[in-house]
Amino acid sequence: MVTAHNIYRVNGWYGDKYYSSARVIDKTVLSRKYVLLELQLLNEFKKPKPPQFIMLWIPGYEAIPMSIAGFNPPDKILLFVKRVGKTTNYIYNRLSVDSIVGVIGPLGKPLILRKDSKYLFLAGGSGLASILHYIRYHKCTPDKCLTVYGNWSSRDMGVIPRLIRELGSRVITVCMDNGCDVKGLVVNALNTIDEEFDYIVSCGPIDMIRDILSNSRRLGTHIVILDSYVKCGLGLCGSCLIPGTKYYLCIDGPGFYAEDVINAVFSRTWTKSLKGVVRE
Amino acid sequence: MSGLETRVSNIVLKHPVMNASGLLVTSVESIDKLADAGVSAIVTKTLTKKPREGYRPPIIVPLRQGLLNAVGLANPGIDAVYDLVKRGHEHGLPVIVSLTGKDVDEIIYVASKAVDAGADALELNLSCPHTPGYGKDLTSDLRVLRDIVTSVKSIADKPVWAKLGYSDHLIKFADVVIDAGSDALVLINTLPGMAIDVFIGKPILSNKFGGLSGQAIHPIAIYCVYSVYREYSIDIVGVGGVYSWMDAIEFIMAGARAIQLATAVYLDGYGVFRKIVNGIQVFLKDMGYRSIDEIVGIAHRF
Repeated sequence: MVTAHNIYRVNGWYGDKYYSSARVIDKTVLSRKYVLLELQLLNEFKKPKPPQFIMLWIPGYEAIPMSIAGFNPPDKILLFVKRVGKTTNYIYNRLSVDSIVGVIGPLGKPLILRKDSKYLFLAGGSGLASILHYIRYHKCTPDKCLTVYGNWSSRDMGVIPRLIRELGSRVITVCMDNGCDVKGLVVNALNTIDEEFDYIVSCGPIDMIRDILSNSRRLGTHIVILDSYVKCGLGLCGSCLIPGTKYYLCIDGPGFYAEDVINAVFSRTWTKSLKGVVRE
Repeated sequence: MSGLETRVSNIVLKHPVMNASGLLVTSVESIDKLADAGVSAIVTKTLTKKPREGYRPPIIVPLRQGLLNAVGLANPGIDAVYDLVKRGHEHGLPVIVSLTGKDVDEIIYVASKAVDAGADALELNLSCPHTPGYGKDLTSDLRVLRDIVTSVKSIADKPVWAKLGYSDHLIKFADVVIDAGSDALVLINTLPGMAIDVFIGKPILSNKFGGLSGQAIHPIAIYCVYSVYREYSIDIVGVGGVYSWMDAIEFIMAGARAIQLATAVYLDGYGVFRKIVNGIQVFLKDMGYRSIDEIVGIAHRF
């Protein structure tokens, strides 16, 4: 006889997605552009996994998608925020410890890497957020993790390279001036690395990902973490469709195996679909 | 799929499960996704004369009771209907175009484009609870409601489905749209709702209030379908909190010939469509029913 539970199993509320209030319990300025926030979740929330994200709502401002940069059990999440637009400038300049904000998540699909592998992380700008989560989640040690981190200016780096090292990964900094380990783009640094990795994980501006995918001759499983305009985060509004695919960034991503989205990454419509915003 | 076939107005569906108009269908890629998921018809997102960007985030809040949303009828505008209908037909599926407008003239304009594009039926969204000037705001006047349906019927050679929300006067509204010529009713839309962050002390949605869908509205929707079926012999499509085959069967026993769902997809992914269809099939077999027809409205028996 057919019964309710053998055909249909409820996983949890809304696929384990929640709205929770959150208290800002720590705010660390990392450089002239970046800040690290620690939020304590005040309601039930599911443990996030990389590269999941949240919608962050600062009352009075538009809610924005934010990659989760770490999770401290049982109820604290870390956000790595770059000041770009209205909301993020407010966070950088004025949001104070003890403020209350709203969080919807964790959104997106976890994409966990195989344990005991060697990981190469390639990050540009605010794309480091998801990479920080991977570094923590996979308990990086210098022998198995290398992070290449790029910014336009060495002055944007601040204490970020130290943060990456403290979390257990080696780091190579890249920028357009002489203040970093490598001068140029992330892809230039990539081509100087003479080491084998099981995984390459790229997260950053679409141009950086294009450069990496077209110039890198490395083999290994390549994962790209994409960025798009996310409005609802649950696949309701359709605003984060990845052009030319059936994927919605907010429910099928944001992490993808490169071969699944390579055409989309190089499509012209991609840039168009980014118009207006992105993870600020 | 024998035994699962059903019919709403004159549209034959291979099984009774389709998506509700809230779900995604604003692009051809989303139609591919729904077709792969196994829906029996594609229902587009509600289309308006011009593209609408909708509200700014937060536009959706997951709650214990369901989902609260105020998307604000975001859609690509009626001109997208040609590609949407074409893609649905390429998958061999009927395409139901959901539409609305600010006034009767705008609705007629949008409806005529949908007909021109080859829509298999028009679903008139007469009940969006959270967009000023549209939906409920527009149709609270019974004369306007009648006028909309009559006018659309006069220009459309395709079935017209009227989507109504819960109201104390549902039977009266149903009476008006049926009398005006609706070929089927879609019951119900989301219900107005609000969520307040108690630590912040403000409503969470940027629009402050929105439409509630999901578990919380399921019994209300069943009641609405049951009440209308008892009074009228029109075809009904049940919508509201369908998560499992059992919820779907409930709708059918209350009098619906088909069901639509959206919120369950967020909970369970696109696989939920097949899961529900399989569940209905197993249930019919186990209980000795030969077809959907046999159970439509059986909850009304003595």
